[in-house]
Amino acid sequence: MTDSIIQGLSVLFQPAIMVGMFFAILGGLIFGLLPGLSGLTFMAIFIPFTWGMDPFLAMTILVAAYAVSCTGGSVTAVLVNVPGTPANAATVLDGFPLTQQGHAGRALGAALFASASGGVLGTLVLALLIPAVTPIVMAFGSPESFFLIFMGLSFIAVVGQESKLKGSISGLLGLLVAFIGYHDGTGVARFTFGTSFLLDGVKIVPCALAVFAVPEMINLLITGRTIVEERTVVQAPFADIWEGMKDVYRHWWLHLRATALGVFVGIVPGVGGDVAVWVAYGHAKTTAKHPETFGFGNIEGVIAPESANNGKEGGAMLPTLALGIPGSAGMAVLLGAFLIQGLQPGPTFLVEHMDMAWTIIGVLVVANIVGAAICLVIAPQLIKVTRMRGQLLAPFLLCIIALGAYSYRNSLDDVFLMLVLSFLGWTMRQLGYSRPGFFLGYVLGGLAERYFGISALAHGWKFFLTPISLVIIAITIFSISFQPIADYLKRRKA
Amino acid sequence: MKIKQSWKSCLLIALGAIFFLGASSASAAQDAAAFYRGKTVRLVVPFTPGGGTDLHARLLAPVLAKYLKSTVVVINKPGGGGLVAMNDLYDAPRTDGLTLAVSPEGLPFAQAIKASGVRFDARKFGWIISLYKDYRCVLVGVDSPYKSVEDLRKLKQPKAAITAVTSPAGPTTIFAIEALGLNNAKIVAGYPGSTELLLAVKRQEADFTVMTKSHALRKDALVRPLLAMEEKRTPDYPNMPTVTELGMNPETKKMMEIILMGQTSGRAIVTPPGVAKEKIAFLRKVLESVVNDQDYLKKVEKAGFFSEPLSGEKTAASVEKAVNITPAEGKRLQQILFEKYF
Amino acid sequence: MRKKNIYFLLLLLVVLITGLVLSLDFRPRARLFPMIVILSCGVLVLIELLRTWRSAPHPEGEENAEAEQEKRRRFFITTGWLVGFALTIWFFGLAAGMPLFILAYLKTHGESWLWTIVLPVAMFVLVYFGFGILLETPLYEGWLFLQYQ
Repeated sequence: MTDSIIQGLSVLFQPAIMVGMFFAILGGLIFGLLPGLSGLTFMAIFIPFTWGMDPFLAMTILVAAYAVSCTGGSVTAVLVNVPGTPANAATVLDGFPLTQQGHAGRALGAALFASASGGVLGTLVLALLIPAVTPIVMAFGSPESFFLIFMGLSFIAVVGQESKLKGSISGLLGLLVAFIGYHDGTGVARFTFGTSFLLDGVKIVPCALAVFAVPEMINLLITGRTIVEERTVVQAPFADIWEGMKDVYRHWWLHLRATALGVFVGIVPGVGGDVAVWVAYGHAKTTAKHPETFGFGNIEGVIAPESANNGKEGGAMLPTLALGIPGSAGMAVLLGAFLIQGLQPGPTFLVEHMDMAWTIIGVLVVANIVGAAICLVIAPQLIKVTRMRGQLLAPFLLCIIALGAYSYRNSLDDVFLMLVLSFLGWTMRQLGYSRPGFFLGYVLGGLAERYFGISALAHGWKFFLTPISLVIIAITIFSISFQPIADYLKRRKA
Repeated sequence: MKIKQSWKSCLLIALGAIFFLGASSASAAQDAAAFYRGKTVRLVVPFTPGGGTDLHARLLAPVLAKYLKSTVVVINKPGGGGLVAMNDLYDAPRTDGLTLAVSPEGLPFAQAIKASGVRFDARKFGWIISLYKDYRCVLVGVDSPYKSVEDLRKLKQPKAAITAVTSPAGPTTIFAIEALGLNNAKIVAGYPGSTELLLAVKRQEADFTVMTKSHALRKDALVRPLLAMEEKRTPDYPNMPTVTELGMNPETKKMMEIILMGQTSGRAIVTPPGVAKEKIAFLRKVLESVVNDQDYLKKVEKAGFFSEPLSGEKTAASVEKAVNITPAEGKRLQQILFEKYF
Repeated sequence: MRKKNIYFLLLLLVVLITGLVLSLDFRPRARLFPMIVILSCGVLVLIELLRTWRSAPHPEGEENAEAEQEKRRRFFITTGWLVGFALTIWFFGLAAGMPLFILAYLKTHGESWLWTIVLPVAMFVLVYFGFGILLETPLYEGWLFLQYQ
């Protein structure tokens, strides 16, 4: 066994592999940075080139690019409120306010370091848990998946800033938007108004951009100001970045919990990693000392989601390698790449190709670290962007955002839909309706209905009585009521 | 004298006509070849990148480019289980012949049952070739106690897992239930994809599902096949019965034929409606060469895909048959698919 | 602010009622969740409507009337630009439309020549070479150019 580990890891030192990995990391970062593109897109584009390529090189490039896309995405999320990938959507909530307050460096430092560390830890968990993966994946049936999603939904009331009432309205609206499209279970096209393009519903990338990114552009266009108020002192970049990195260390327990959440949700196939970041954010907020500061630049609100979104990939890799069951959409593409190489992940694969599994583990670790390092080094230059005048920056960014919405599935309709939805986003911004709540409802709505339906059909009405489901329900109730009860007790003491 | 002369001239004219026609069709073929040379051909895949159809298309593209002597670019246009791209192909057709698409399986069937969202007439597409057709079987969990379909019949409420009713395998699954006479069966619909179906069956959250045999053939398979939803047995499982071997009442048998017919077109390459006949003929010849190309076949095998081509003409004929069902049959299908088991 | 809130909530009510009417046509299992969501949301919207109606109108409303007007004007202008953006892309396509939009916007806002040239060119390079050629994304050509096909 140790032989395969050494063999697998030593592959990383081959020159061709190192060069390939470096370019893949750069590619992954750029793809992550640009909204609408992500590591998944990179992989899909690169796959045809892997015909006849050395399998180790092919896998290195694909995995490296994929591992760092969320890292790249966090940069735009923090600096210009544009989530580079949907998994960075939660990062904008506190990352962007920090930038506006002149602490872009700190936010970036925290985000990037949390990403790297979360990615590495997630990978280590991957390596350790390989023997245990089958029971975990088998234990998580539809009822358990439903309750995980339910836990996410319970955070809707929590993640917003203003009144719980408005937050709930936003969440329900998001749920409604999620129902647009073709309902698989019954074969009914819902709220599609006869169009074929709404048949698949509102897609996540145009929606995330419409809700978070475009309203910010509208704001820049209207006010013409810079992202950072001219009078605000912007901290000296490197010192600030270092401060941010230390923040992760200061909140190391939160960082560990968030990474664990990411890994865990990533392992469960079918739930999707985008949920993980919101669960992490919600968890961070409910367990924080000052939850009311979330959404206004609390660094914990940056650390939690960024730890989770890199951790989830380690988690998703687990069932993919060990069972041949993709833990996420990206993993499904990776599986395709394996197939092309004539490899088939699964228990037999792990026995026969343990060295490759370890190469992949090694790539994940190295790519996460190198990717974050690259971003940290160029961060001061990027921060300068936030001092550009809104009138200069916004049109350009708007085009990039539109390009992102377009290239998600080569559809101009998505761009128009995004523009239309962004007026809703803008209205919500101006009137204080929780946009994260809306987005959370949207992301989870379809999944919740789906798994509820399957659970009810397959298990009947007692479907919540499985042990894991009950545990999740208990955790949910605990998380939600923790704050209010603690407050109540404090008031009684006073 | 006059008659002889006019007879001769008739002959000459006839010969000339034949020669001319022959030459023009030859030159039409040459024209088509020349037309494609150096151009960019778009191959639209109605699914997300990385999936089976997408990979197969990307496997095919360079080989096609070689034979067409042009560039072939794969474009993904996912949505609606493939319907969005096919609708778009039909609504705004590019008749120059430079746009091709990989048609999802069961396309004519979706039209026949008037599935929500279908706007095309499958017969009007130019059917170039069918690459292959999935060989579908009733699959049960590899550890499950079911050894044959009889065991399924003994269950009080057998549960069948499907993704969506109008997915390629949805109707086949429902008709497996019909054919087996499982009147108390329950359909658990809504699973996101084939992975989740396999897991559900392995976990015994559902008793069976219907999918391609390749899931049972792979290493560390999660499932085992019990019954083939096809007409002929497969050499991979010579002892596995097919659904046509089961005793069925004539009405169910007719419905089954319609389903099987609707799936015959398999994964096919099509052009939008309105493309010139010469180009279609040319493309058919080219794709014949492509699927017999050694390079292509090697890649297909390595990736674990199949290649069981059916000519364009035969595919078009099967589509014609699949779509032309009587209104009564259509209604009966709809009733079984959407209402009976829900 | 209070007025805007009320208008928004009323609009929401209209949307919800439309949704409710539409969902009555769906099969039972398909309309279950949407109806639950619509009804719950409707109840909450009504409560919020009531709350906002009862609350005192913002005192600032009268003072900053001019600032309000200015903001409103700018909002409508920006909306106009966004609509223009959509139309430009639809008409000229992605590769041409995006740089054109940037050019038009920068020019009308009196930016320096340097930026008015650099940014559109950069966008063109990104779209045409980056997305169009490198990533082989099929770029929408625009209604204008499609006419010549």
